[in-house]
Amino acid sequence: MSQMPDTPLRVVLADDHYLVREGTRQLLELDGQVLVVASVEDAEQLMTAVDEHHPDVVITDIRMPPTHTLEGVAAAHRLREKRSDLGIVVLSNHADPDYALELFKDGMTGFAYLLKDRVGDRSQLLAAVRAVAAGDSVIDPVVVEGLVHRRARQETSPLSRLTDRERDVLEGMAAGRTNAAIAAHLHLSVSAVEKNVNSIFSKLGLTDEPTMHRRVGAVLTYLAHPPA
Amino acid sequence: MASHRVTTGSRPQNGLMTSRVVAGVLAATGAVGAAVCVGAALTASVPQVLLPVALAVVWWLAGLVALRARPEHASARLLTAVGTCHLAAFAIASVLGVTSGDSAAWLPWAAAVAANVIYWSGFAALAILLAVFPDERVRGRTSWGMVTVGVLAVVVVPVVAAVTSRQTDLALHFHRTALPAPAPLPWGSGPVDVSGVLPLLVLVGLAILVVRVRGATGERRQQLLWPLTIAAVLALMLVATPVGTHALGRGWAVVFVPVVGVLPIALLAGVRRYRLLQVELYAARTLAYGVVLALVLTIYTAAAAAAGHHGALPAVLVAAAAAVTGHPLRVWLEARVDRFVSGGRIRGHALVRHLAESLEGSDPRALATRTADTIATGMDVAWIDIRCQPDLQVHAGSARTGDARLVVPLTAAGEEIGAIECGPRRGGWSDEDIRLLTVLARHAALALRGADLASALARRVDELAASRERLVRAEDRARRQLERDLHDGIQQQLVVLLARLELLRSTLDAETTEGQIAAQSHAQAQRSLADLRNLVRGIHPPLLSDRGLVAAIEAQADQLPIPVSVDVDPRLTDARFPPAVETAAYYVVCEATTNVIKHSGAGRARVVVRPLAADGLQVAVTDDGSGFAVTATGSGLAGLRDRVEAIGGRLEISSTVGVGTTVVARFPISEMANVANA
Repeated sequence: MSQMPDTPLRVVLADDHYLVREGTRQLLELDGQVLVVASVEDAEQLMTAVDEHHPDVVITDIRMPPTHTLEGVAAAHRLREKRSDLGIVVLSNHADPDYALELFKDGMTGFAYLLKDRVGDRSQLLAAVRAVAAGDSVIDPVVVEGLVHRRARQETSPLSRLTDRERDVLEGMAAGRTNAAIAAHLHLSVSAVEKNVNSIFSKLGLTDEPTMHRRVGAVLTYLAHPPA
Repeated sequence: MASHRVTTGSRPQNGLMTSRVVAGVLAATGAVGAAVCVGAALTASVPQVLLPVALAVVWWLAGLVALRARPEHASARLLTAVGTCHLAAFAIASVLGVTSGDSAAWLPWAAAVAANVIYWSGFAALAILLAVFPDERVRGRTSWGMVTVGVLAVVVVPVVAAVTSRQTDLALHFHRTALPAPAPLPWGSGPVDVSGVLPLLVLVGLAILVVRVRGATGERRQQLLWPLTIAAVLALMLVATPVGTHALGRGWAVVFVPVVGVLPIALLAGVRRYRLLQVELYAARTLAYGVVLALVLTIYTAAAAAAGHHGALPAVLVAAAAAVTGHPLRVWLEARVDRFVSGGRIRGHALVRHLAESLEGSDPRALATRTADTIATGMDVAWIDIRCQPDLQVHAGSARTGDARLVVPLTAAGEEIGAIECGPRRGGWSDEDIRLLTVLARHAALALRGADLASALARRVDELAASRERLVRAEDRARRQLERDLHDGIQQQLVVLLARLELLRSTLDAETTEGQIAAQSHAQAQRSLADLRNLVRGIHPPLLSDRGLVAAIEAQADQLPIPVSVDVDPRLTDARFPPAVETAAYYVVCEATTNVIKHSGAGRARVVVRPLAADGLQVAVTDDGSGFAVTATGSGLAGLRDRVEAIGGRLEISSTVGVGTTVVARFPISEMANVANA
């Protein structure tokens, strides 16, 4: 887990729904770890607010005016071009992996793709904010599940050779969980998780990565762009 | 056809007997004559007679065949007589050619005169044949007068010519010998060439026919056009013979012999079945071209005469120029001749046929216009108005003058749908004309009714297709709107609720009752949000609008519990199609794969997306399941078919029990673009 910062993380919120913005803000600021410096309702205002407030992290809805389609993703890419150190969390109602892959198309460093449900899970939301602030990547477990399922569906994919348990562990890895967190989540021992992780890497032809964030990156890259 | 034949039942039996005797005599005489001619020719004295003899034999044989077919017809006897007379005359001439000397003798002289009379009688028979063709009696005082004059000329002219000359010209065409008169008159002249009178006999027959055609109406007029045509050709050939002989020499025979040889056969056909289809057309063309040819020949002769005997080439050029520049003349002549032949009108079946040919197409106004034009010109009516339900009115001919002289109702299937109103007409309306117009009106009414129904049906089909398309599009729009409303409305509010419950839960002790209630409510709200997401996806997947068909199909495949491979043509991976196509194709995949899961028990399925040759898209879903009877397809697939066909696509479902099912949808994209833009 990342070290808790001395000063709160500065966050800009973007969502066209006022009550969603407010609810999110209250949750984030509950224990002082996060300071919402600005709260805006579309992508253009988001650009301005970032220029103005220099936040550490941006949390944006994927769907905003004017077209209510992928404004959040487009804004994320524009912001990333401006500021490579900016952490960006995209909240979405879409569980389809395509939207996440669209966000990650040019790289996933400092990006998180979470279902909007996570607004109701304060710890996950804070974890994601801290992860992207540190340059890590987070992808919602539900989306990972879809991604893994899609890859496994392809008969030639090595994922189809994973056991169900290994697949669960893989999803945990892709979602950015530590082995301990995966073990807790799946009610397994940490050593059992480690065995599964080794088996997964060997079946997928990956090498175990030294840091958490590189491990997530490797797994997600594998899922998003499987070897031909 | 039988009803048009001249019946003989009322004729006395002895008349028929006489006819048979006459026929026998004609046949026998012709045979003897032909034998003598051939015999004489074989002795090599007069081989040049063979060609006319052959021609005469053709006429004679044609007559015999006509006699067999129609023994009661005078036409048949006359046709035989033409050949027989000529054969007899040629036989006498052949014998004279063998025996004649320079000395004046009564017998050869008398024989020569007789040969002339017999030869001329052949032409007289032809003239009478043309005058009475196709049935027995010579009609009208004028016709009888002409026949009398012709017969008198046959006897009188050769005899007078012989008596008044010091020499008698044995004036058979192709065979010309001058015999000295045994008792010449003191003031007698040299041999008188009266052969030019012979074509006159044919011209007399032609004149009688023209008179008869002018006086005849309806069917009889049509019957007469047949011999008129033949007479015109024959007259033309005889008139042209001097010029032709001058120009072509012996080569003229190449033109003359086939034409004249075909004539008896044509006449024979006329005797056996004289009402031929399109006889007006043949008659009109023959007359028109005949007159033009005669004119060109006249010009040629005049030019040749002017240029002298050596100027054949200029004469040919002048005649050719006349023939070429004669086109407007020919057109004018054809119109005049058409008018003469048809009495200014297209007659009977020709008019019906003409109308039937023009009654194509499904535009009632065009049909009515063509009908009015056809009747106005075809029946020579000053003007025609056609009124037809619901509010169709067309006019043809000159401006309307006063009330209609004749109104014929347009009746189709017992229902009066309008009327044909006729203006004044030269010669008024005979019963036959009114019958004809009634027949035409019936044809026109059926066609108009058919066209009306067809266009109404076509409109209806178009309307239905358009309304089905509108329904599908409206449903798509409604689904998309509903998805958006849920997404931006309830879904957002659930998120807010979730955030608040999370806030509540975070501030409460989880061990307390309140904390537990907050946690349960939180979990419930989370489940509601997940359920709502699935619901929205089913109503209209946002992915389809946002990322296109292929992404939506991939996502749908992800949801299925069995392996579903998605094969997409590389050209289509990122392709976007009109929304109506994307939606329909997506629902095809959803419905088909849902069926696979629910009913087939298949272990795997495959979705193939590929382009079709001409701007099309094909989506196919195949499984290896149990299959089903296609006829018993559920309402899901039926609704799918409606949706696909509503936007111009085609859905094919083939299923074999035990092998699997294939659902193929094909969409024409070019048409679709219109739908999308509409």
